[in-house]
Amino acid sequence: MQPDITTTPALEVHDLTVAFDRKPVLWNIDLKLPAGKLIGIIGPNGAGKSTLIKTVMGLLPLSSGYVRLYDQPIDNVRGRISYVPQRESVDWDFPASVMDVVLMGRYGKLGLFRRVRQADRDVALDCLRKVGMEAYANRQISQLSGGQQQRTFLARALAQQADIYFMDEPFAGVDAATEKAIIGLLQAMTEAQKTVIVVHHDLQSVTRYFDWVIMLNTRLVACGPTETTFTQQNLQETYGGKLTLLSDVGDLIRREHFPNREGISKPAL
Amino acid sequence: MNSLIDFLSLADPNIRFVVIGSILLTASSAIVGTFTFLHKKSLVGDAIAHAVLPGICLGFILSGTKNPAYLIVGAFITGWLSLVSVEFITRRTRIKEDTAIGLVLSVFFGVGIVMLTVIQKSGNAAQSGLDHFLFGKAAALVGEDLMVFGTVAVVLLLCVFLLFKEFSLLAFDKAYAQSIGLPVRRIELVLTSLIVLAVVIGIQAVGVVLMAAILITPAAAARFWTHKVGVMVFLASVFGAFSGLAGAYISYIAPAMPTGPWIVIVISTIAFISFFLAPRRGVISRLVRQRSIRRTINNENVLKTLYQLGEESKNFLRPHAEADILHKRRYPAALLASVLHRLQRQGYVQRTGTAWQLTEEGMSRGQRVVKIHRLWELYLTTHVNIAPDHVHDDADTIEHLLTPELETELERLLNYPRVDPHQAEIPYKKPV
Repeated sequence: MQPDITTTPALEVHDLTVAFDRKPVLWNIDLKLPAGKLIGIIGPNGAGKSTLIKTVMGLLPLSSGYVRLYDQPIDNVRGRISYVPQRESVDWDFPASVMDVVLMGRYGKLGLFRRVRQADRDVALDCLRKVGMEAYANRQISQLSGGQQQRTFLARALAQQADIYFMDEPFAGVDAATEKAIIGLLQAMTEAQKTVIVVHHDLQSVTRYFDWVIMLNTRLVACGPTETTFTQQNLQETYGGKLTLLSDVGDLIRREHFPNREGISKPAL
Repeated sequence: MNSLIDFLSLADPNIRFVVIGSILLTASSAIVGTFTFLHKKSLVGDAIAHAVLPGICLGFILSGTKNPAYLIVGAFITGWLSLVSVEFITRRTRIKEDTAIGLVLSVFFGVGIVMLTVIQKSGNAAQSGLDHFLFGKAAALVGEDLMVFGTVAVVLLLCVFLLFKEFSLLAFDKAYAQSIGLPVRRIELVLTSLIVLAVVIGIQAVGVVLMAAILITPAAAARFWTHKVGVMVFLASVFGAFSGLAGAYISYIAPAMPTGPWIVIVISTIAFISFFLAPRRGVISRLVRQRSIRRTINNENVLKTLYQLGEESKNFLRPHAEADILHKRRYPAALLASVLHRLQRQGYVQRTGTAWQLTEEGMSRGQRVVKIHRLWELYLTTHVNIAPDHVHDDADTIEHLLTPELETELERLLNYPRVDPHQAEIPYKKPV
């Protein structure tokens, strides 16, 4: 099923298993993604889409397997990755302006203790311009609409000047104009050889938006170029009900306090 | 009055210690407390405050003196221990964090009280004054205390200054902070240590029971006044310092008064005032805004009614008696009269005898409201698929709310329609 990627893959995931409270939510994922593509992750609710990108970025512990970005462990290439979390994951009543949030995208490059410089402000303003939000730079984030919040997050990710972008449902709850603006921007980014990986919900737009798709339902159904992978059969397999037996075994692992892999169990109370 | 001048002139070295000490203690607690507040760890601060009591007693038992350095070490250790316990319980059992905090807080505090009682009954002469830690003793600070607390306060401020952007980012979006490779665990460890330290020195001022108040209340009050973390930290420290000063002064003029509770009363008053008076977020500001919205709605409704009466008679500037207006649309008569008088002052209507007529401005504003009302009804039926008999109430609200930009967009979207769903003509200023 895996098409060959001749050059170094932007992302390689090998035999990845992730468990919450011992129950595996992702089973043995193997995939390689090429650089410079716009890649969609699709699958039903609870399929583990967000979990996959969070684990790849090292935000969640993995039960088995490994992840390599540009053929290196994640911690060696932190400066090259960028993350757009789900919009609802933060409290927008936080006392900060749009500019403050976008400047956070510079913190990784700045390092600990250092103050924001004018050069960082210039980059941030430039990124705000790219998402059409420069007029809102001094606006309080509590006053933004959903689409504006999403654009702010996007500008923050752009300010990192990374090579690979992970975006968790950037189109959730945004208006049509914002969605169009965002997708245009993402396509321009991939033309500049950036890799953009997007957790996506709307099946209607998959073929229009993405070069590649990852089809996920607690295990990998398919991963490859959209035209050959986004097929009726794969869709059926992704959305056609959960694998009940797999889920039941996951529950059993939790109930019985079983380790996911022999030999690496931690004591539990 | 003289006592205030004596107090503020700092001539007496004892007073100097007390004043500088209380400002230092409350301000540094407030600064660290701002981040405790933003990280939504207010309850944790309370748990730590109660949990330092056994540490203080232990420090006293082991060292045999009330030297603040020993007591701080003891307090720091049990303060930390309480946090570790909360985290352990939350992570390893099914007990949720709020329950875990309640458990840990009461157990540690209980043990502390038992130890304190044992020490007091032991007849050790050095122990007198330990109970100050329950309610604070800002008025009894001496030079030796000040050295220790001053050092700790400087450490706190330095850490907050250096890690300001990291603490802010972590409070806003922790997962993102992790994704850009910040050492999140270690920064959290520093922040937690700062909270413990702030509590340990803050209890000198207000005591363990009320510590959470000076940690959290200044930040909560400051939040009403600003949208910037930096300003919030500054305001919180000013509020904290002021309450510390006021508390120390009160115990200076009335030595029987406990300092801590007074500090808490002052800071709570500041928070209370902020709650009511702050611009935008304050209760009064909201009430004023709502009042002004209600006025706009009343004004526009009367103008709309006058305009609609004009439509019927094909003469928009014709005078109408109040009874006619009330016949067209039901208002409380007194309200109508007051609204009409207000509109007269604003130049939208004028009075001829007992009747009222629209001015040019009044007519065009009434027309705008009617236009938006009908456009919105049409939009709801054609674009949102709502039945024509259900759109009137929505339009009644929207007609007062729509901005000129949205109004233009609505016109363009509907392409300047002639009539609304009820076949009433939509009035435009210039016929299209």
